[in-house]
Amino acid sequence: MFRSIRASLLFWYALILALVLAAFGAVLYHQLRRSAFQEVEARLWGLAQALAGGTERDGEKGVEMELPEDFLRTFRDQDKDAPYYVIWGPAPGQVFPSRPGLETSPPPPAGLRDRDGRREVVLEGRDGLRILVGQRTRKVLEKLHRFLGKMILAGAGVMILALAGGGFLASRALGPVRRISEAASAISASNLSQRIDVARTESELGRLAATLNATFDRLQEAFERQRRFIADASHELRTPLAVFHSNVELALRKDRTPEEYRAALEVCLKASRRMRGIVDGLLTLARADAGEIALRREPVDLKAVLEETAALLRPMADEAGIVLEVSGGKAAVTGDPDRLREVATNLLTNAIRYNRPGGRVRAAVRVEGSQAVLEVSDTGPGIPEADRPHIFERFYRVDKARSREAGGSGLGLSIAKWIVEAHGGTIGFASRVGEGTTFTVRLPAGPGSGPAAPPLTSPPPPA
Amino acid sequence: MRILIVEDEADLARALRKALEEEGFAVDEAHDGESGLYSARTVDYDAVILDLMLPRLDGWEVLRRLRALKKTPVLILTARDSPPEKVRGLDGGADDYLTKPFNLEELIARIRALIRRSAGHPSPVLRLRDLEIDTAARTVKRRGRPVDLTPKEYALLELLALNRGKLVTRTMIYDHIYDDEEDTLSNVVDVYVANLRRKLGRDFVRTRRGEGYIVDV
Repeated sequence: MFRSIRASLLFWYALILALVLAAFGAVLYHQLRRSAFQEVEARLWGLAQALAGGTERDGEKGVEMELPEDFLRTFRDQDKDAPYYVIWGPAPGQVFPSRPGLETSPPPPAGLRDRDGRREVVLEGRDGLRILVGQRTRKVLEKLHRFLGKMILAGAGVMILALAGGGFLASRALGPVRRISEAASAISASNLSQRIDVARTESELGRLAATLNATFDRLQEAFERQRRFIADASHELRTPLAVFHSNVELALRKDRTPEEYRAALEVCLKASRRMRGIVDGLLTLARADAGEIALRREPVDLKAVLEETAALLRPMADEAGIVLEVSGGKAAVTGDPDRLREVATNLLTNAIRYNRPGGRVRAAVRVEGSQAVLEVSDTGPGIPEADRPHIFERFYRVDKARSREAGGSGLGLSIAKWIVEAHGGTIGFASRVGEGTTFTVRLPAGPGSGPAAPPLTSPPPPA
Repeated sequence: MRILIVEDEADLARALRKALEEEGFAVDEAHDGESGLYSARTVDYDAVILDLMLPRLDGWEVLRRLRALKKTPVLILTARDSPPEKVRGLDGGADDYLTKPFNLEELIARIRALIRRSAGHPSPVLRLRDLEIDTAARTVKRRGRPVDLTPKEYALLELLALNRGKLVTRTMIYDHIYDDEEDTLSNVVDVYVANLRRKLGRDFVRTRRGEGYIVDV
């Protein structure tokens, strides 16, 4: 109904207050009026009884009043608001009003009546007399109306004061909301650094502000992560692109021999393979983030996966002078064999690449309780302490330059982590600088384990 | 002119080297920061092309340590393209900054410009008595007529012209005209000087016995 909370708050406040005041006023007025009339009636009864007590018939035609003159004078006052009486004799036509101009017929029944702005009591006197005492109620009503006017005035005053106070309170209470909304609207994707001043927002709103700030923190972090990720991705792609580009430009500068063209094309092929590796990795991660990759659920022997992978990578190990050993027994898990092979390939490739010449890679599979464990250890340089928390981050590299030379995309471990976690498992590592690193993958063993039914929720991107 | 390329991407370094050699530069390569810094400190290169992401010692550190000793023009060639990184590179003492991927011809032109500026001759055309040396096109005219020079003769002429009025020692000539891998015989320089005198005039260059050569202004 109202665009602003403040206005609607004030409206309802005013409405309720007005109703309360009106009800209160009405009750008060009613009570006052009743008691004023009761007072008048009581007086009239008193007068009537006194009159009845002192009046009797005098012969056939008249009445005799044995009452003090002062008392009787009350009724003869020419003031129209003074009480008056009318006495009827038993015979028709016998009427004795206290002053002229009073209505005299017909004689009313005994009791209390209210007519033409007058209150009248009628009672039976002695000797068949009927006595009426009345008074105009104009003065009482005027008094009541004056009182009503004052009450309305006072009510309006109370309303004004209350509304002003309410408005002030509403502004005070809503001030922080305004500040919060101003701060929140100033925060945009391009300027995520601003925060709501929590010190200036009180109580519940302070909590709201803190909650919003925490949300903005997370938002900023996510944006920052995204920005860095994009910068890293473009940086990773630029290098092979530069190799590609400069070699093509060089080849085209002048006529070359077929051998030179062949050499240039081979370099370009190598660079484009590298770019493809990065793009494939990025695509996998993007689809994983979006939850678009459905993993198969099949019985898989982890040992068989490891052996197949090792067989494929043995030439690479031989070329690098690395001894590759595979051991362990069957370990059944449920999952996507292709993806699990990807994990094994990644871990083994890393272990071969980042090893010392003549080093050794040991890969083993075993079952530990309800878990199938794949362990890959190398005899490489180990991972420095400072790099350990970042190992699974996208594009993170321990030796920035050497890894590129070795040909990795910088995404392998991020992808491996995603695959393992999507299978309900964990991946971790232990490393000693100068001695080597051991990666350990733990997957739920046996049938019925493995990835949850699709659609899979992807793990959050690494921090 | 002799250039050092410090770049860990072997395929990129090789292409750069080849292109620069085709432009008549003598080129050395280093594939990590440490060896790059060592070479840049020991040899008076005319320019250094420096990558930033390098094994062992990163490009910023190489630049910082080199600048403590030498004024060699440095062009940073990197995939890092954010303005703060460019500012950091240039304020760190680099003379130019080019991001990957780059255009080969642009890189070569920038290298030539760097060398001209550092020698104090911003114009690409050097005039020396009756000679007109176009350092961009690498051509020489004498009294308006083209003179035919071999790449090494041209390189020697350019070196002498850029250092006119100053003594150019034999070591300087070896340093600037040959790269590490070229086999140089001590009397090869004498042969080139003799050729230049034959093509450009007897008095073109004076010999200071036991010291080197000088071209008078």
